[in-house]
Amino acid sequence: MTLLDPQSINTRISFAGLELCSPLTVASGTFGSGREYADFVDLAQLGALTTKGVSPVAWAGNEGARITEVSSGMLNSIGLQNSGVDHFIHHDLAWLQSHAPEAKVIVNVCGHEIDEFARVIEKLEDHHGVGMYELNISCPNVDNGGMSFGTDPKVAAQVVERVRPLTKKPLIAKLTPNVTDIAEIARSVEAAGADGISLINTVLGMAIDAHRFKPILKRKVGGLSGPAIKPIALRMVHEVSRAVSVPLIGLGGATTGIDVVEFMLAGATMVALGTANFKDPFATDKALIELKEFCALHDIENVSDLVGALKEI
Amino acid sequence: MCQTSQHEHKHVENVEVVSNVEIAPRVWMVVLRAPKMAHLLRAGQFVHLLIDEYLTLRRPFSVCQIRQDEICIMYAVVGKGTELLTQKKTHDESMSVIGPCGNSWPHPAVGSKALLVGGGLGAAPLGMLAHELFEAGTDFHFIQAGRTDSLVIGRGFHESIRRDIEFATDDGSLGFHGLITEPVKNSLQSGEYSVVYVCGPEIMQRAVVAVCANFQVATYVSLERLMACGIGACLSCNVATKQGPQKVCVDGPIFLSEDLEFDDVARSSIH
Repeated sequence: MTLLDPQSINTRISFAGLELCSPLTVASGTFGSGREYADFVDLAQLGALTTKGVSPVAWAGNEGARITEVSSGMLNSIGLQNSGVDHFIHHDLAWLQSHAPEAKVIVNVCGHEIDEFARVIEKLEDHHGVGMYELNISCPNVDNGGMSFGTDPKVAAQVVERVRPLTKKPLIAKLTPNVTDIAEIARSVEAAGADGISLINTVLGMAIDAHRFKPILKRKVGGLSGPAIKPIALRMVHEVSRAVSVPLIGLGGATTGIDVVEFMLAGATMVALGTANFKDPFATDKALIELKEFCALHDIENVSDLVGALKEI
Repeated sequence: MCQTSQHEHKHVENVEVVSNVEIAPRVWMVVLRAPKMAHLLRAGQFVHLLIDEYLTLRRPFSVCQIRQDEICIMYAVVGKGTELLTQKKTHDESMSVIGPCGNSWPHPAVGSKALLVGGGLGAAPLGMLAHELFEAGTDFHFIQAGRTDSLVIGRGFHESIRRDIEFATDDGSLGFHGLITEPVKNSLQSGEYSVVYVCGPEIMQRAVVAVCANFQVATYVSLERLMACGIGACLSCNVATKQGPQKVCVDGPIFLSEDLEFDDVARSSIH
């Protein structure tokens, strides 16, 4: 048997009706609005570029130390700091349209109240360059909204229902792992009209400075990300893929091309790299190369054939 | 006075450990061969170093000296990352750095005199600035302080800048016995300085800024924050300024003190 040439592998995938050049994207909040990584990565080569969270008005974010490294991961307590949707349109989106017009953009949308999600989407809807919306109903670092929307299946559905009539573009609901039954939440947002689901957001965690007898983060808790949470994420992606029929974006500790394969086998159509970008700004490029090499080695011509291809033991 | 200088086009470079030795109690100096980085770095900027593949995050380090193709970093051993860094051996260790990161200290106008004020390890990046000013023919005076003489880490800088350095120690073991604010005040009373560059523990920087405010002299501080990406994406290193929230990694680390909301700086500083 002749091995396939990695360059001949077809990495194209379709996700919620959009044709994308690869299954790779980035986790919201780890990649700015793309501009910050433009020295390192060709943004158009990403399957999609997921932006930081955008709210109707500027949010200041949290006080005190905002990150701390823990074993195989990090805790963050950024608090969705952003300059608001108007600033996002005039600075970030405008920059992307002039410097990376080919990039497919997923705008992560957040709000303290359900109507705030609607206000962001209403403002963005007329602007070119927005490919999809990702509804952030899962951030653990804000007091109002955020994760509280995503832990109750009824409220999660209400967010999707509120914004569904406002756009024909794909709506993705981003789910929190900090629930007892994530499949129930997934079924609920699918029924409410979500075109896709991304999971998982960060896992609620805590770090303590023993010598000072104090928590490290001012809010005491933060969101755990990085390789430490990958097994949790894989389990949840697998579980949700069997519960819904909409496509999934898998994320949570994915770092390498093999990690991308694992998430796809578990049922994800797309995979986001998050914390990995901090350590290596070329992480997405490298993961794509590794993904192609994996497919060549296993005689898989189309990357999309990996989706849900997990076998029984 | 010009604003702090912004630089673009960071890159990633694999660098080799040239030497790595303890130069004071719990303070080390690592020298890295980084030909491209060495020629781009300006005083005040930092590099974002991946110390070990098993760490999740890089660590930011200021640079104290450039020697042709090499960059010199003084670091205090304060945690897991810096503990691992002490174990890096000469020539057989390669690490990845992102840089040059952040802005640099603006040089004063021709003919004006600068005051450099470094506390503890904060004297290290000022050593590079001192060398830049010396090369540019700019007149300056350098004051360094530490808890005790062994922790005044830039004593050797006088060789490359060919002038005496003034010292202050908390215990009087070297130079002035007391806080650095006293010699700063004495210098500024001469009226000959148009700019002050300060670097060190944030509480010391605040005290120096308070002294400088009485003399209405432009004062640049250098801030330190925990950061993940080092390139402006993650918003970990936020600092409140009169222009709104800014990022220490790209808008700083050098800030004009009057632009900062110093109350906020105190709240969010590293402990």
